Amino acid sequence: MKDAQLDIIMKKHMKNNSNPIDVEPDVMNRIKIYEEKKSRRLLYLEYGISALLLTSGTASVFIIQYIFISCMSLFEEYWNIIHIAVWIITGIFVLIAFSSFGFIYFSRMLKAEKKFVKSTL
Amino acid sequence: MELNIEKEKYIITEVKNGNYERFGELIHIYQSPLYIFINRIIRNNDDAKDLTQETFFKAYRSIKSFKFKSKFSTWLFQIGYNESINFIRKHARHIAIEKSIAIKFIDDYHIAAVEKNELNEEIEKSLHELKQEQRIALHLLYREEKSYKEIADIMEIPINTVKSHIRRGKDILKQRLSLSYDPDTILA
Repeated sequence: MKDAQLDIIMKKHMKNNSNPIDVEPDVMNRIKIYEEKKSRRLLYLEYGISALLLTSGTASVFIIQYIFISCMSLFEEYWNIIHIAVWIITGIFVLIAFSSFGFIYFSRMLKAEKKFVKSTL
Repeated sequence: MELNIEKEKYIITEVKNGNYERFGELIHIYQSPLYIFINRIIRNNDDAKDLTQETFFKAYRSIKSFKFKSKFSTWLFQIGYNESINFIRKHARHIAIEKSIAIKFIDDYHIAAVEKNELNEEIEKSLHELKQEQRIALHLLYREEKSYKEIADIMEIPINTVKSHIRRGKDILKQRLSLSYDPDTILA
């Protein structure tokens, strides 16, 4: 048998050998879940960074407040009023910051969870 | 069925940019050749199906590392080849036991998939007797029509080694087939 003859026989044989298979739905489903998980991980990272920024921001506000009060103690007769006002302003600021963060966090979390549950069904 | 190179490149770029749904088009095109290739290596339908899925998933996860230096199919087959070899290494003992029990069912898929005649069965049996590397190289050469360079890339071996595997594989096949068949009659 010559090489060329074997080539023809083998090509014909190999090409004749076909068996349809469909792994596309399974793989795509797996990829979908993988992508959802990846985006959720990114979301958690985003939340982590936001929480860190918020905490450091709040701490900075308290430090500024402390410095401010220290300076204001020079005006002793108004000290009590200034002190209370600064506390109220700080309290309002922290409340607004936390509630908006909480709102964004939970609404996005809920959205991500819904999307993830839907993709796994 | 093969994709136009430019279209394939476009789809891959889309996938890289986050449009993962377009990866389905690549799966659709390459699932059968990849499955047949993996099955040629590990010779078990169910495992081959699982490995085909795993190969596509791995390819998707590392698609950003695909730099268009080779054909996508070559890169994909390389992943499939590595997956199959790792599978064989991992399940070597199990496969050896199964082989001894089910020797008569060897290549059942390939025999069942082709037209059932003596010649096809003889070719499959002859292929089975080849060394794994020879069988894989011949499969890539004849079935996928890959060049020596592409086969070398997929199998991660030098081109000369590929040539040697193919040469030896062909010699064994010729010897084996010549015993039972006259090539002129087959080709007539």
